[in-house]
Amino acid sequence: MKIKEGYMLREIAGNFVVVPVGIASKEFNGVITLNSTGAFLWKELMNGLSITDLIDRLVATYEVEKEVAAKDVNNFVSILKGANLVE
Amino acid sequence: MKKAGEQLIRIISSVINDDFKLDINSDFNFKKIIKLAKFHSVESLLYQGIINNNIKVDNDILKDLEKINLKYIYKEVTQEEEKNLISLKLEENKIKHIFLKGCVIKYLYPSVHLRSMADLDILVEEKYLKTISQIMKSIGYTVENTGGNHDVFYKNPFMNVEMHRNMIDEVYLYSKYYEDIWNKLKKQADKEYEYYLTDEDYYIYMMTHMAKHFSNGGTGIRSIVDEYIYLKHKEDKLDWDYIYREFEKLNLLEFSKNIKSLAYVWFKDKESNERFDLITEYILSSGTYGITTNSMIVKGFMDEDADKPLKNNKLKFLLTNMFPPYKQMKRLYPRVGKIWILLPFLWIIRLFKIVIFRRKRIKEVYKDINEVQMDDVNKVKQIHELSGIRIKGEEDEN
Repeated sequence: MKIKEGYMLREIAGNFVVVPVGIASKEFNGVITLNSTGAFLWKELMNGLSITDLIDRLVATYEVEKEVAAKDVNNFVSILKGANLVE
Repeated sequence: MKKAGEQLIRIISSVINDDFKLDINSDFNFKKIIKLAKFHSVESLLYQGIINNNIKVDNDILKDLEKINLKYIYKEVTQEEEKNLISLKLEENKIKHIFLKGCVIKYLYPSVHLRSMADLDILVEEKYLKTISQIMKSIGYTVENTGGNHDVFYKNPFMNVEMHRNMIDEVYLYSKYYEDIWNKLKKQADKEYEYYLTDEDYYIYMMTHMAKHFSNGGTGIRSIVDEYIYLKHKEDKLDWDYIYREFEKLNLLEFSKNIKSLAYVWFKDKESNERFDLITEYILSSGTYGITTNSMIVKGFMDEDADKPLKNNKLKFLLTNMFPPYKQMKRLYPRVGKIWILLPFLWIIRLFKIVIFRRKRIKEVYKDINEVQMDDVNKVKQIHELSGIRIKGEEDEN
């Protein structure tokens, strides 16, 4: 699973914002704000990763329980899928 | 407005000086401050100031500002992407170009989105404008307007691009200074066709552009923020002998010194005086790009005799706007405007278009003209005198 082309992640004054550019701006009108965990997952997904790998990365980086990480990743991915942001 | 203006300036100052120790009391009326920030396109600076100073404001107000701030971020990222795309296309087509104004100064702001930009301004050589029009269409832009000082292109969701023929619109006297601009520009190290102004020449251009606005409709808070931020980053490194020599040529030496001092009054605790208080008031009332009433006064009433009624000049102003002089018509209609015999015909077409498409604007202009009083004229004259703007800024077109 991978974030679609044309979405730029920017850190502005400690906040993370995703902005569609080019063709993506025709599909998605607006901006997405993320917290630092969301930004981490987004960055990982930009390179393409399975859900299992994503959970493992979250556990390794944030030292959270695997169950909690799985719940967060699944929530995050389902929002992305709902907004048609991943392929 | 004065109080709200001073408070807004204090909040902006904390952001651009990275000093977040503002003591905000109940005296701050954020509804008025936000209205003013919108008038001057500095909402992001205000939002950042509120957040970083931990100022308690009404939740609805904060949400509104947050939304506007996100729009600025969205716009800046999109503009940057489009800027890179346009530059790439101009490089591929071997067309010399230089990005101007906000495209340059925004990198000196604490965050690029804090410097709002209505459009991208690019200077190109006039002979390439037809090719550029094709290039812009090939990357999704529509041609909105051609002729005059710049061709305008648009692309959804909000991209406005202005391709300029001149650094300063040729109707202004300052434009003569920039006639030979391509010989002054430096080539970007990693590009073949993208150019830039030296730090000194950028400063001179920034001041000249500000003077153009100031001497017409007025200029806003943002231009003084630009001035301060530029000085903050570059003042010690600039060749001031060269800059002052050039300002002498432009007749802008006194104006430039006053604007520099004003920036330090606003953002560096330099002591104010009556001159700076009055100029501040004028800037606060002008908005980002100035207001129509000021512009009308400068165009039609500056030679007004204080003892005579304004009526005659109001009529003259209206007639001049309905039937612009030949020189102006040539700019508005570059293809056919050179044939002077067509002038009456072009006047009728123009009037017809205005009546059909800009009826509301006619009413506004008429209302504004009627409201001009001798006091307003005297106020603009006084501000020009105090600021050191010695020329009208616009060439006599008759």
